[in-house]
Amino acid sequence: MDLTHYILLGAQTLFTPTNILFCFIGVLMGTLVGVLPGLGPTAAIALLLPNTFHVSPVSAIIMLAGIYYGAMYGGSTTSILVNIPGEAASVITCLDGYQMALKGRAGPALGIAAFGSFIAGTISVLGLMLVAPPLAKFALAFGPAEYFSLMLMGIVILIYLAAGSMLKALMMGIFGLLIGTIGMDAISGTQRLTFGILELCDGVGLIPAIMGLFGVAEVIANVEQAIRTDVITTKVKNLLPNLQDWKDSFWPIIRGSFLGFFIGVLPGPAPVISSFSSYAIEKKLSKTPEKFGTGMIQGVAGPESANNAATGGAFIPLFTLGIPANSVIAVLLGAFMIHGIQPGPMLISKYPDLFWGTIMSMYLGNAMLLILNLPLIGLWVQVLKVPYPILFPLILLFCLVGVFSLNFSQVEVALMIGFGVFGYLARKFKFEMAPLVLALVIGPMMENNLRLSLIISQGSPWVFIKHPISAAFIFITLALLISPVVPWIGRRRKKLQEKVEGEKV
Amino acid sequence: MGKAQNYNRIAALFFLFIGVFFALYARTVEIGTFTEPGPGFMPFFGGLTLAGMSVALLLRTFIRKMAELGSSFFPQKDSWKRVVAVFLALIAYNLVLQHLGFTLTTLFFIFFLVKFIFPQSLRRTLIVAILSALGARLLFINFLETQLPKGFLGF
Amino acid sequence: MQKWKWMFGAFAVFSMLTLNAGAQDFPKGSINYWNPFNPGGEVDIAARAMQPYLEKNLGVPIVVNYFPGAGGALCWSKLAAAKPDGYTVGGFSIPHIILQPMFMKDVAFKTEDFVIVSIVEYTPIGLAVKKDFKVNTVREFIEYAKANPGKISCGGVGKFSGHHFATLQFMKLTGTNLNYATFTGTSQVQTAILGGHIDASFTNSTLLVTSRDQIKVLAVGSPERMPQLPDVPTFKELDLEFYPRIARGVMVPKAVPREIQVRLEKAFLDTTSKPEFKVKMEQGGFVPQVMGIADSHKYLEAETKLLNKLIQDYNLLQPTK
Repeated sequence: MDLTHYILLGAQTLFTPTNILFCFIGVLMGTLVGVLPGLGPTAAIALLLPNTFHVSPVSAIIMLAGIYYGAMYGGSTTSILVNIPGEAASVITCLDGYQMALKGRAGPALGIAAFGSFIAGTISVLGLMLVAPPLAKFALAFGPAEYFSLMLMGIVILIYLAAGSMLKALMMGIFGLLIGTIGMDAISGTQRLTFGILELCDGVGLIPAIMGLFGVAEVIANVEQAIRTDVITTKVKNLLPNLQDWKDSFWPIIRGSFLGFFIGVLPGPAPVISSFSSYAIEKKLSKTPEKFGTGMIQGVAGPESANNAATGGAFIPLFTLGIPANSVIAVLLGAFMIHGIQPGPMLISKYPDLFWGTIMSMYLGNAMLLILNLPLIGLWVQVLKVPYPILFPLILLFCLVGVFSLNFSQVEVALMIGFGVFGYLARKFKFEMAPLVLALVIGPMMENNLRLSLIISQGSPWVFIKHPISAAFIFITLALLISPVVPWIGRRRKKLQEKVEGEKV
Repeated sequence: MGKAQNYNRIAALFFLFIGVFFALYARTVEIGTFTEPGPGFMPFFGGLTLAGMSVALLLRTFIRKMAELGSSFFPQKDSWKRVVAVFLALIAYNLVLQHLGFTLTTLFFIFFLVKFIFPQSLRRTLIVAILSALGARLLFINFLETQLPKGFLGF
Repeated sequence: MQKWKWMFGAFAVFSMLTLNAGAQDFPKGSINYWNPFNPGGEVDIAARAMQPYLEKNLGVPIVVNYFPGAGGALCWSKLAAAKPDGYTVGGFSIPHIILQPMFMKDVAFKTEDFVIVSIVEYTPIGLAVKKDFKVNTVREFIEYAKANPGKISCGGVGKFSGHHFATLQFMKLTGTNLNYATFTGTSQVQTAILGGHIDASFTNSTLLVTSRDQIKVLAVGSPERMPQLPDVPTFKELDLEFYPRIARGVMVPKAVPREIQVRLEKAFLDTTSKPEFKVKMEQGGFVPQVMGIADSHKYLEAETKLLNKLIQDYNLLQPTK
């Protein structure tokens, strides 16, 4: 049975009116959910799952996949328009996306995010089709030591995101790590800094932190300025990326897609890691790295593609090993089980129509997202035209409801306000927010894996070097840490030489 | 000696305090050993690292010359009033929500912010406030079925 | 633009209708099912298998939330403090809910804080080693462990959980010293052992059954050989009186009114007594059970007695560890 046959099989399964409708509903709900923070994809799925029990597993999975992709895309819309990330993976999009919006280029930013996501989604689907089993083996090679080194490298990559001082960015990162330790320790059950407050038991919530640091703080910082009649200084000209934009974005999209796909195979916060890794790579490869943070389209194209590709890659452990990468995919797993399908290495061969149908649906979902969202760009951009004195209370309301509706907890809203104060002050003192948030996401996983690795190796820290993959990450981490210092050393040497030889070298 | 030095110094001291705090706290929960790292392991080393970096930052402010930043902390004389007002509004929202219910609290919140921060006309304020409160209610409570509080008035 | 609004509206109405169908006194809205472990684990699979039947029976959606951490202690601490209105139910594991309050510092719940509505299944625990580990029987394993004390890494989920306890019990019974590594969910243990990052694991029959081609299953702790694993000896056959297992089901805070408890009990009993459900569970490596409130509590008491005896006899588990 060759590939074309399978594709046709998949297409046949997919292009029935029911399935197309389900795909559409999934994508729609997903985008809505992604735009409204705090309402994760899991909530949307919970609302819609009951309607899928009397239809085939393929339809259910098609809809659920649609929600997943939709949510990813929705998150970037708010990042670009109002500097509030819809979820952790969209934090990076804020950095340059929002700047582009301020310059009147919200349309191209949204457009390239949509197109980039589509292309990335397509590439990841192709990847899924062609290399799923070998990739699964690759994922298995990652144990606690490898995860720790990967996360450590991730933290260090964060400092490269900094537009300003790297030392300060790293400090924010470590601070994020420390905040991440608050809560009940996963391994021993001891409470750390929870002061008996039950809500803090599972740690400082990510959404309150994001809403506070990005939403509230941003609004307060804006409110501080004199009356702003327009957030946008120039008129919003084009709604779509122009030729130059495409030229600039082409390689970032391709690189981001491949990067995201491979990282996505690893269970865990793959979209987050891939998005900021992509940003760091684009910045490194760019001829004008200092312009990153002021509205470079590569800073949107790369990360958006990466996090969408990671979403596709996340399906691989499910299909090949029966292990869900996150709670959304776990719902898919549940859907399989309900219909009597046992996920595991045999899944693809035993249920080809399910596998290929899902693959084709992911492709279709991507296409639908694009078609759905492009016309909406014009609508979204109108949001920016609302006068700020009226817009900002609405943004604040958005944040308040978003956080409150998570766990109906006043503590979390208070946390958000606290983060708002901190974020506002941090801006004043020129510290960056992104490293803190990203460290908050990665920190707990990193700590668990560190401790696990040490337990397994009975206390030997050399375990991180003994494993080849882990050693590679450690090496890169060290290289990243040392490389900013090297030119400094070089310069000092030059200066010293000049002094000694009394002339310019 | 520009303003930037001072900002960085205050920040460095703040982070130094945090770092030391975590390191000390870590000792009350077991730090553990390398063979069996305990709950205090990460806070301890993380805290120390942060403290170390704060010291580095502090030193840097003495060694290097830095550019001047803006003249004062707040851009305008009365900016601070707006900042404080918004924070107070947020805190009030949080406290009052369970008592007045979602729709009313939202109404007051929006009204206050629109009228008093960048003052708009009364008519405009009322329209925006009422529309927002009702719109939010429709979206969150009716359509998305989020369970938002009903106040003592029952809605 | 109008079309969108129409579709939103139609969809909203549709959702509300589906959800309101069959509303009586309880339940009136969706019920939250709290999972103390990671997605994809045993509690998750059982919950998802039950979900359609429960939703039909109760007429409301069941929303699964995940609160992994500290081997379940995090979720149960929160559950003890949750509103006792019947809209929040939690998965549980025995012996975890017995052992953790006894031995963990700072844990915010006690076994008596809950009423068990139903025990849904149990999974015998078995010993598995990674594929390229140089032992093929339990005997060889014990010899290797004696020759290399503390070197064999043995993964399990949580501290003071079924796996942890099984590991400790085994060590005492055979006089060996294994290195217990704490994971937060069975899926993690699965990837770790499949990838060769840990040497061995005392783990649930579900993992043993689904991954039996990729790991070596040395023995299982059921009284007789499991039908899903016909070539695997029981510990009993190897002269080890060792029957570790984990029983799972659903519980609620004890202050939930009696009528609501009974209503929930009915929903679960109806679900678990369905033959298709039983078959699905067995395929996955579970041993399904049909137990209501009374039966479950009898089981809980019996297990508590047994565990206390084991702890005393073998002097297991010093506190603060």
